[in-house]
Amino acid sequence: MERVFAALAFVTFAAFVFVGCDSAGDPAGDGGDTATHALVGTWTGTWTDTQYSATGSMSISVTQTGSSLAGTGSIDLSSIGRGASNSGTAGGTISGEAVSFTFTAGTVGSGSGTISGTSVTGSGTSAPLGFGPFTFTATIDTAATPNILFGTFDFTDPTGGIGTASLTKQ
Amino acid sequence: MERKGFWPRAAAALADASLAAVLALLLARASGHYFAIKAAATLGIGEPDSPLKGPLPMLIGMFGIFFYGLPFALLLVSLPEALSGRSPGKIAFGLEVGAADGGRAGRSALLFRGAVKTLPWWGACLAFCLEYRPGVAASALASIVLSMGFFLVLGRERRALHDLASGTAVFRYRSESEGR
Repeated sequence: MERVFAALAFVTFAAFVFVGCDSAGDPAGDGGDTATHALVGTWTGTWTDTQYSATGSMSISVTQTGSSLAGTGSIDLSSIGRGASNSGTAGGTISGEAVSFTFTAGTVGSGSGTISGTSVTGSGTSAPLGFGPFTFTATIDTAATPNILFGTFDFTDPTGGIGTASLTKQ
Repeated sequence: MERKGFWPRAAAALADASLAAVLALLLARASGHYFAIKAAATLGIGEPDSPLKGPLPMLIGMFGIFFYGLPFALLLVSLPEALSGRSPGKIAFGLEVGAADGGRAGRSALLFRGAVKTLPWWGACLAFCLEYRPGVAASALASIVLSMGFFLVLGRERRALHDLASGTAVFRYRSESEGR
């Protein structure tokens, strides 16, 4: 179960990170040094399932090498009895104005997404655990200081989780 | 004729439940999806007054197309017993439903017994179809009562609540040639 939420978290993480790369840190979208400088660091925040009123904390660390992005993160699922530290990875590529990314989280499943401007959309599946498919969106508030990344997730099965995730750059 | 007691009957029930779980998985994207949609509407999942809040309902919801489709699968697995006195689990463990006196149970007795025993399952299905929340609660309550009633098998008469209600008991299976 924790892997599912780790995957979920990383969907959001990846979306947040790459949105930031495309718009907040590098308006030109060319993956230059400025973008790297703006994005590398630690983001912390919370996830909340608004449908069932469950919540927890999460954090990510982001690095960039040229046009390649990489992220690692951790999510606290102790509120649902699944441990305080669950991890996963994500990676992406900047290509002009577009950013594409993928994520994997153990046996949970995989997914991918694209970023355009400050908006990100994507989808994935948690089929290995029987949780079914999910979609996600995210945006970054570049006017806020520090920057805030806000996203939504939706497990598309009729009673699957629906919620939000919000991260603030430290 | 000796009535069968708790353990063989519990084993048969467990086998039936296992079969129903497999069936619910197979039907998850069909009937399970339908009942999950109905469950979301009936229970108001996501609405402020929904009783389903917190981690456990969330985990159940993530498996909703299985969990909310399970009553229908249990009902399907239970149908043969209501019609013939033998469920797949009872067949596996050599059991059958008979009249309390050891004779063959009548069709009406079997149907009535099946209706009582599966009240939680058809009740839940009906409640979801009608989107009637009190019906879901009543079915859950019936499930608790009947589950507790099953432990009456541990008594001297070796008859569960649904056996007592229908004038039946469970015996070792005998073929037609063996008679009673």
